[in-house]
Amino acid sequence: MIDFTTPIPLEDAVQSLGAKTPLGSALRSAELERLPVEIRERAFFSATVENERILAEMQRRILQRVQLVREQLANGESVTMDRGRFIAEMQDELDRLGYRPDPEKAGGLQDVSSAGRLGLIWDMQLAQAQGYAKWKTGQDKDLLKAAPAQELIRVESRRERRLWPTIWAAAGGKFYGEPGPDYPGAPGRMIALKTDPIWTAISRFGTPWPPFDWGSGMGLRNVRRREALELGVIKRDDKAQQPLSTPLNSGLGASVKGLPDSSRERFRDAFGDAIRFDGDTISYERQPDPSDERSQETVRESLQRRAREIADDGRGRIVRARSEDDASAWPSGFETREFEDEILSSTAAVAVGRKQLYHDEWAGFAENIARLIREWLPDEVAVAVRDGHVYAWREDLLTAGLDELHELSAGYPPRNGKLLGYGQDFGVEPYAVVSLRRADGTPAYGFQAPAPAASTFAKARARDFIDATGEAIRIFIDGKEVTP
Amino acid sequence: MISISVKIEPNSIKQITVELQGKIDDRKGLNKVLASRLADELQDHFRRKNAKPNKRGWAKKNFWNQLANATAVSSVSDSGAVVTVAEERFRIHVTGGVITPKKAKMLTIPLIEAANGLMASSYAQKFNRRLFTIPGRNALFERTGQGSESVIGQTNVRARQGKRTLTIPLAARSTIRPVYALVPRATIPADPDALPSAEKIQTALLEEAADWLDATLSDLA
Repeated sequence: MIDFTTPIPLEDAVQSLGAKTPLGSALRSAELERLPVEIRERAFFSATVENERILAEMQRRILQRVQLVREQLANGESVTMDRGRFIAEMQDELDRLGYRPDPEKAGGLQDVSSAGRLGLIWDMQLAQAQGYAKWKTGQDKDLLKAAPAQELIRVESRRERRLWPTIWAAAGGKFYGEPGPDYPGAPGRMIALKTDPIWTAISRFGTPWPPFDWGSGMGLRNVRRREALELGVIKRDDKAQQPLSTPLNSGLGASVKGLPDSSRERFRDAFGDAIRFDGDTISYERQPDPSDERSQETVRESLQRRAREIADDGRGRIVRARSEDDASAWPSGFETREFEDEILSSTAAVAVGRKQLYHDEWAGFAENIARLIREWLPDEVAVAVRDGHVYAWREDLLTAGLDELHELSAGYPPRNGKLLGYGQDFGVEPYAVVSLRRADGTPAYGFQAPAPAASTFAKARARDFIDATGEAIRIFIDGKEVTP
Repeated sequence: MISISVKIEPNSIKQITVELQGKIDDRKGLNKVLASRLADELQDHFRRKNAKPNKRGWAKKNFWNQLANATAVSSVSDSGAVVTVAEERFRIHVTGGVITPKKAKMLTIPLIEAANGLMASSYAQKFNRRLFTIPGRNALFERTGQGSESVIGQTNVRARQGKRTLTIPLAARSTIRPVYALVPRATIPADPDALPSAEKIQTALLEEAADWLDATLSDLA
């Protein structure tokens, strides 16, 4: 039955867009395009937009459209989100958040508040979510049999058209039948099996679904079995295509040379050990096992769950240690749980790859603390003591050895800001003092960071606490409270 | 022997009944394939409509292609399937109806191409223009040319600035043009061509059912 009076959201489109993590980045479009597709498809970002609140506001509104949510107004009326409303509301939001475009770029695509840029963000995000939903639907054994191929066609007219038949041929695509009306001079129609790698090859974004380029106006049309047989795309005795379960598996690294520490921290904060930085190269590592019931978890959900499990285990071990050991085995304040949340959240964040290093000076208690931490941390986390300092880090994510870590963290003058981008590197000016406090105002954690990046590091460390404890945390930078 | 017939209620393709004669094990598979074909037919239809030029000769907003992008199989079971056009604005083109403003007092109907697809506030920001109303005229205007600097003959117009309404003088002999018409409601007539014809759908589904049988039998052979 079809019923056009009650539109139903495309669930896969909702899932695809909703699972994206707002990721602020100073990268420009061309630099973003070089990121591994697995990262791009899991993050909601827009070129040079560093404010994650702006991105979250954009994502919320586009998601509202994909979910077909009706927003209830105070006057009793209800409205849905559309492109025009998105542009107008985001312009108001950007104004409220203090966004001011560069006067020389105002009104153009580099001005995030311009109607052109906001419209492009809306069009691309919506098209990507819908494109993914259709790709997923098509990767079904019955439907691959009924409509085994698809055709690249023009779905929207453009004043200036790219020569898609040339792009198609260069990527190894074949032509079938008489050319269509879009490109009458082409050798034929651009058709390929749905599982053919050509679809990823022609895409500027590395995805096998449209959009294939910025404002290309190109889309896909199913080629049903009968037509595919007539055109010679398939033969009657061809083996059935196997549905693709993992569309994005590029295994590629991308250069992020020149990316500032704060931007790297944002990637680490959002993706944890799903990504690797190897010098100036970033790659995506997480390949969930489809048979694992947790494979549907988003990266964020997975990081949060794992951190909570580690912290909960650690909390139990601390309680046992306190009750079983002589009080003199532990430092002052340990029995009052003063340090508990900090140790648990920091070490759990290291274990899931969101933080590079746990370091603290425990002096004569260092061996006991290290032994205790070792108990709750997974095997891939190294724990070591040097001169009363305790370190925990993942050797696969941080390649420095203990000597180097100790020199950078505990040498004189302390230089751990060089390694992490924040800490107690007093040589960085101007710096800001970051303080994290529990809901009741008691201090939980503090550090110093270069002023322009303080907010990024503060939010990342606040996330450590939230993930490990499930409790709210307040952020203060130079004494002023900021929105988490 | 298996045979399939497709019935569509006269003057409506909102409900399609597919009757199967004979034993079919994989009813869900067949429903899935038929729903997918219906979605394809709808998309092709919407894209054909999208190819028509804009009635006012303006750049297209590709509404019908947006509908095609939002059309997909939503759910499938042994007893049927649901195809959705996940776009709220489609319904009124099928059924016809009246649109009324939800937030503002009036609907804004673009009168010039540059305003098409933009809310009034976005138009004002994009072109750095102040839009204003003139008493007795149901439109939002913009000034297109500077008038006299003399205060004689000035007209007071009303413009919005944030949530405030300002009264500002418009110099005599200024040239202005209407950008949006202001209307309390707009009637959208039902588009008899919003959906493909029942005959076309019937032919397509019968062909698809036959192809499904052919593929199923060739798998068994």
